[in-house]
Amino acid sequence: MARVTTALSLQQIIPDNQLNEWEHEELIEQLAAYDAQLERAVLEQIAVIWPVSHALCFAFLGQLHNGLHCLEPKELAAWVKGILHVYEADGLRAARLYMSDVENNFLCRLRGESGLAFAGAQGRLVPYIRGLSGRSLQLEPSASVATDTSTIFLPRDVSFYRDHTGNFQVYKLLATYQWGFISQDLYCQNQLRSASIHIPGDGQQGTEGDRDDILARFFNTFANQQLAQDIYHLLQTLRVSVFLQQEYPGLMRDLKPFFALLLKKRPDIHQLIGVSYLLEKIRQWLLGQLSGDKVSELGVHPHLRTIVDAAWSGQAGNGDIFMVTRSFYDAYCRDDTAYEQLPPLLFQGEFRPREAHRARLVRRESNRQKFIEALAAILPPQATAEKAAESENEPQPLAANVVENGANITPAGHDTMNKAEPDQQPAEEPRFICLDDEHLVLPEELRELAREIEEDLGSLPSFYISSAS
Amino acid sequence: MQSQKIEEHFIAEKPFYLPQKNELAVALAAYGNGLPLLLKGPTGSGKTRFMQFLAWTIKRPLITVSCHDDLSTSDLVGRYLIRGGETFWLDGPMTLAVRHGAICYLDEVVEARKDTTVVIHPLADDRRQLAIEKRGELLTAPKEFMLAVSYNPGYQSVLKDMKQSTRQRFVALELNYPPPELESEIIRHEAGVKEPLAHSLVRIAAMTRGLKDSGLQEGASTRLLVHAGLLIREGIAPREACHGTITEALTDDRELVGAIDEMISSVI
Repeated sequence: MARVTTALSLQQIIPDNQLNEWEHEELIEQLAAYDAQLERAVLEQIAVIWPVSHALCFAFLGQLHNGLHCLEPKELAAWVKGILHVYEADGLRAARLYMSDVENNFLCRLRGESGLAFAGAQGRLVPYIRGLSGRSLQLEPSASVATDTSTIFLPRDVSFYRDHTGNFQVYKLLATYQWGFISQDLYCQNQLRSASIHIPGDGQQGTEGDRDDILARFFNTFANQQLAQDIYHLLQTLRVSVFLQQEYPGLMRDLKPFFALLLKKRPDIHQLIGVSYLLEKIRQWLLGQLSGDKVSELGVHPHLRTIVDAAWSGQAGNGDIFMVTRSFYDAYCRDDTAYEQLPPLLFQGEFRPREAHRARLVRRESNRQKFIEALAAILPPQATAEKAAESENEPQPLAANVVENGANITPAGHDTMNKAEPDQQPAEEPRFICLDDEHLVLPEELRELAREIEEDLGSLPSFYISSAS
Repeated sequence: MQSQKIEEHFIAEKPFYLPQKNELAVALAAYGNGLPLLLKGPTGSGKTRFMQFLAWTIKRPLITVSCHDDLSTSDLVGRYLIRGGETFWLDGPMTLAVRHGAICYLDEVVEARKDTTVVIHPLADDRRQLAIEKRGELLTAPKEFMLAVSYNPGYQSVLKDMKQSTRQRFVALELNYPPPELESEIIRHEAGVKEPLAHSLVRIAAMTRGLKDSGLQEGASTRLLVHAGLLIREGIAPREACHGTITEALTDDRELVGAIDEMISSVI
């Protein structure tokens, strides 16, 4: 009788013809499990959400069980209001994230623990990250943490702690981690470092094509690319964590309690199976290491221990992470049908190779223009006039460090680089241009620009120089 | 005529100085050829220490004048004074240096009044002469004399620029912040701190030096890092020492103060 009543109530909100039969059944079953008061409260919220987005409504119903662990029925309306607000601002994905953490995203604020908004942290955070990185990185509020290597995306607000100081430290950690990913070349954009990386299982090794897309080439070798990306990103997070512990020990020490807090919020590992279980085990192990508790052990998988050790060694480069990603995948992902993608670690954020590639192309074009303008400003008038006359009839090679008419870029010091470990070597700045046997010392700004271009393209294209005339 | 004792201006002990490049060779070559020296570089980058080291190397007295916007020709050349009913002449630092073949070092020369160029120009070209108008005296500098000036290009403004007619008389040396390893060694030596702390201080300085686009006029100098090291060696907590010697010394902007303190707490 109760199910009939529930069905009738539901039909008034969602006509039967808008639901699949099984969806209808599942919904009735879910609602029938609630007492009358709660059922009424839930139906009221379904009536609000359904006209806005059917997908959002299903996501809401999916998260409702978890939400009701900490929500009173009378609080449902306010929670749904918050969900809709996030949905309108940042879309379905953000709304899902909002729903997944009722305590921090909703209840904290309900108790007056307002958290710290991005706008409140930005003033201190922007010079902090620019000082740390030495680059003009942008910070932007977003639904999730990520970087495209030009911009770091941070949450609109952080409310882990009651006081702004604690929440600012979380912002600081998130920004620093994303800078760590940029610094350690998560997206393999440094051509000088990446050129010699061996891609396991890639038949195109050593070819000129797709030089920019070493990461795409790597993931193309996997049957389940999403899973491979998740493994790669997590192992890179281990590597970056070691880097941050070495470079910013004060930050990592101050944030130990926060890592412990994050560890408590991770899902129950015993509910997971297969590769999902192993990846979550690594996440929790990492949080244990960072928090200093070290309660989470890797268990008795010797091969897993070898993989983690390789990423955690402090010596690993991108090439090593490629190898251990492949190794992990081959060892544990033969049967990946049970793979359940779990939320990444908060500071790890999202892996966005496409956005990073787009940002790289924008930066490349901007650097090209800046380099040509800056070089034109310092070239001697006679040399530029001669070069202008000659370059009109010359083809433009793609990349070389010798210009046709005897003028050449001399990236001094390159021969001293350790070729055996290109993955670890920073690029040296070209310090002067040799124009017809005359050395033209590059100003600091131009040297920095030339270094960036070399990192991106592998060498300084000669037409950048001929275009400056 | 009265004169200060020139002996007081000799550098008795070898100053600690680690050359960045070939600045000493260039300065010695300039000295050997009677050419004046122009040191450019940010504050606290070792310009004054370099001059002390040069003076010690060539065993000449060093007379340093910190220029300011009230510094006039009279302050450099000298003046008549009345004491006990008598009038007597007191040599200024420039005259003292010329008479005794010393190094006259005008620190932050662009701060001085424009009329000082009247005495700088004839001393800085091949005449090497100093005219003391009030005494009707014309001094020709001995070969041991050297004129050296310094200025900080970061502080230049339209009002306080160095005229081409002045700067083109000098051999210019740029003294920037030392490379990290060198700077770390300087801090270890000057502040008596251990290598990891010196290394951390250098990293903090590098971070602040990248903040020009964010509103910081100049980054932390080597001098500030030495100050921080000295306080830490005396037992002040490292973050507190850095806040006092680096952060508050660099800016009054509260957001920047906060940002620099966050850099410090990340590294230390």
